[in-house]
Amino acid sequence: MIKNKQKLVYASSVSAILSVLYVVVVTIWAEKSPALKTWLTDFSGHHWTSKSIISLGIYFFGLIAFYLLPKQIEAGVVKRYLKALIIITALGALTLLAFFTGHNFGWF
Amino acid sequence: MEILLSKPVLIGMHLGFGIIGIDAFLWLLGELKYKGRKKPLLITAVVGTLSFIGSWLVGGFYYVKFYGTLVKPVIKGGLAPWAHNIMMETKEHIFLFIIPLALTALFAVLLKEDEFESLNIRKVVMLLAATVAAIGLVIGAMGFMVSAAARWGVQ
Repeated sequence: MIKNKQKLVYASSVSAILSVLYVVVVTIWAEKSPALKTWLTDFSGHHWTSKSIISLGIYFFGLIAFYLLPKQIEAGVVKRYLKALIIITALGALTLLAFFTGHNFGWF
Repeated sequence: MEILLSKPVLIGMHLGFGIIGIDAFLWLLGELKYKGRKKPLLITAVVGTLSFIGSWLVGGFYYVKFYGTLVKPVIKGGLAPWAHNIMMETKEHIFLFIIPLALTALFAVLLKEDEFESLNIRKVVMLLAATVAAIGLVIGAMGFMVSAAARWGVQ
């Protein structure tokens, strides 16, 4: 059984934040860099599949790594990272929407 | 198997799993608000997370196998190319946020009641469950626009 569930929630929050940030950055970067998009396509056969695999890889690697790190998690830290995850998710979604809207209208 | 992997069935399963996922996380929100028993909390979080995984796998298969070659050119050449350029592009990427978020909510629900209270995270976990459901709803609305553009946006 999982010994430290509090640390599991902390590890999941931190790695989910990293995963969300990765998706936002790599998506915008790949739209601006054909070489990166080609590399992502070559990695699995489709750029979206590659982004999916790597984002889940970041999440699960982070989950295990942050859980196993010998670090004491204070009570307030769990709440802080959960809040950060929600805020970063909302900002990430809005960033992608704004980017693709601008891209559609040729603003950038 | 042929019927199961056909386009209408894949779209239906993608949407069906998505709706179950959204409903489960809205239910989880209610269970958290009214301090429900442990078992229903866990069941709703597990069902919601598994449903979103199902929606991701089925929708991903459809997207990779059919969307790019069959649907995207129709939308791009129709009256509403923005439905692909903005809605589909945004939807397919913010979908990738959901699984880590849903798993985080599920792990939070594993905490005992006294741990939940001592960490003072009830409201923030409720907000997390609401965020998962909201992203699901936004993705659903975007998916409807994409389908509508392919169906009715043809010149």
